[in-house]
Amino acid sequence: MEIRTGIDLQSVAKMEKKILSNLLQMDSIFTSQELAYSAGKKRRFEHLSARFAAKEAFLKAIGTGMGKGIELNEVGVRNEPLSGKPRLELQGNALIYVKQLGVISMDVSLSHTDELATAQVVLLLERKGK
Amino acid sequence: MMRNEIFEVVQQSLVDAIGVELEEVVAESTLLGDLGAESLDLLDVLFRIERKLGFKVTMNDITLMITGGIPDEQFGTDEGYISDLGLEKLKENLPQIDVESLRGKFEAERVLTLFTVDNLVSLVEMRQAELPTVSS
Repeated sequence: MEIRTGIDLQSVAKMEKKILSNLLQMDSIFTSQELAYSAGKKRRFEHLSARFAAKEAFLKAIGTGMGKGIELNEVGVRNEPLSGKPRLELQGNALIYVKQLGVISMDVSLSHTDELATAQVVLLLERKGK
Repeated sequence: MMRNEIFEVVQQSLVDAIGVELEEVVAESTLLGDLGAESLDLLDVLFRIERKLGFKVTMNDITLMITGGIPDEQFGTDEGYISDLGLEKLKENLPQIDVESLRGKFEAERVLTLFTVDNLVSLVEMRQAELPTVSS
């Protein structure tokens, strides 16, 4: 068994500024679930910042970094309906990659204030990956 | 579009996305180190370039340019440094790199820190050249 972790910290003000510039291609970064969850919420930019941090944390955990064939909108955060607990939801190349890596379990935790958003991802691998 | 015009588009996109001064954005400036760009900034820059020029330049394009398309396990050694093959690929596409100074000591995961404004301009030029042309 092998454990891998990734963590990331984002500035909420930076996310807000970039989103309000209307130049970010939101649907290429966030899943439709994430956009729907954040829409209309008072702390919308905090939620989106935390979800962006989760994507970065996931990429750090699997050791690829951005631009290695995994699109950011293939790594999503979905909240449990009753508890609100966030869970990672993967698609496309992200899902293929974790299967190849031998990931048998993964977890994510988010936290945010009006200034900063952070996320940590922990992966449990069945075998020692590279 | 000529290279100098592409440079101006890239330069202004970096200024607008990262918030640095125009005079800070010179050809040799590294995006992550000298200009202080973070992941979100890189996405912003690439989206701005696409909006201005009408074609996509993606993070995958940057990675392919740096690694020459070879798999991660060939680009880095078991110890995590850039392999000899990786350095060979790096030199092909990032000509400013002094590969001998990196051999055996530079972590593969840090390779994006070597990417400069000039490299980005070259990448945009390559992507522009790949666009289909309409024959009359």
